[in-house]
Amino acid sequence: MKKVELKVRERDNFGSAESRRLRSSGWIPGVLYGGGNSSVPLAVEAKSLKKALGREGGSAILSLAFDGKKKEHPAILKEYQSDPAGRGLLHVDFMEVRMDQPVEATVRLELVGNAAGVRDGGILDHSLRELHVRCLPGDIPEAVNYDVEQMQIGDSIKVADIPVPPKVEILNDPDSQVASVIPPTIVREEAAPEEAEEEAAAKEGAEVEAAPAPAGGEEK
Amino acid sequence: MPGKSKGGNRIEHGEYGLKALEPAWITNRQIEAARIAMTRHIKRGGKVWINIFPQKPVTEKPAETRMGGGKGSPEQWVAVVKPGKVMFELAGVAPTVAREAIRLASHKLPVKCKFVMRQGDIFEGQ
Repeated sequence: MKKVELKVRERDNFGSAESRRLRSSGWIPGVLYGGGNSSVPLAVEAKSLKKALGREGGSAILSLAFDGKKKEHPAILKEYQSDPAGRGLLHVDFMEVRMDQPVEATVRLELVGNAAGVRDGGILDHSLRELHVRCLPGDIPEAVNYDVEQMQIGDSIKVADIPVPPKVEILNDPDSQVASVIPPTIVREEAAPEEAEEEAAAKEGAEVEAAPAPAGGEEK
Repeated sequence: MPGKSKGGNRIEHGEYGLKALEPAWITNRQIEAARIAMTRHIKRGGKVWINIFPQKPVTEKPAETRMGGGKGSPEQWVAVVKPGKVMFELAGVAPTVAREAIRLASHKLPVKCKFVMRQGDIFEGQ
C-alpha cells in the first residue's frame, strides 16, 4: 500500500457557516481521531486530498502533517460525507493508525475477466463489492481481485471462495454471496397501443354494420 | 419540497444510475415510461433496478366542478423524490449503452437528472 503525505491545518472556527465558507475556498472540513489521542478538527485542501487519494478515494495510508508542526500522523480515510446532489465532499474523517496494531478496513472487491456465462448472454450480478478486513495498516491491499473467467450461467461465488491475501483476515460471513451469473432477461415487444385500438375499432365497426338496426329504438 | 435525499443517494445494486437533481413527484406512469425506454434500448441482457415506488395517492377534483362537496377522488400515485436520489440503476451493459439508455429514460421524467457510475469521482463538483 502506498504512503502519501498530506498537509492539513487545524480548524479554530466551527459551525455550519464557517464550514460553508471553508468549502467555498477550496478546503474540506474534517477530523482526525484514534491512536489514543483526542480528536482534532482540521481542514484539508480538496486538491491535495484528490491528488493523494485518486479520484475514487483509494485506501492509501496518509501521513498527515499539520501546518507548523514536525510530527506526522499516519492515518487512513475512515469515512467521508459527500453532497447527495454531487457538489463535492462535505466532510472527511481520518483515523490515526499505529503501524504495529491491526485495524479494520474496507477493501474493494473487483471481479476480473469476462465470465464464460456472460459470453453466452448471461448477466454477471456483482452483489458484494467491498470486503471488511482486519490486518496491519501496512498490509491493507488496495483491492482484492477474483478471476471470473470460468463462471457459467447459474454459477455463484461466495466470500469463502475469495483467495485471502497474505496477512489479511476477511471479516465478512463466508457464506455471503459475492457474485452470480444469471440468465438473460428477454424483453417481449408488445403490439403498439394505437394499432391495437385500430384493430378493435375495425372489429367493432364490422359488428355494428352486421347487426340489424333496431326499429324505432332512437325515437324515444 | 425542502431538503435533499437522506438515503438512497448512492448506487446500491448496479453499475450505473440515474440521479435526480431536483425535487418532484414522479407518477407511476412516468416511472413506467422511463423503465420501458431503458429496457427497449438495452434490448437483451442487462438488469434494471427501480429504487422508487409510487406509494403516495394524489387526489383531484373533476373538471368544471364547484368548490365544496368533499375531497376529490384519488387519481394517481406518485413517488416523492428529492435531489440526490438514485431512481434507476442498471448493470450488465457497456457504458455507452447504459449512458444512452439512461438519457432516454431521463427524458420521461419531470426532473433534471444526471448519469452516475459506481466507480465515480468522490470529488465531483470540487
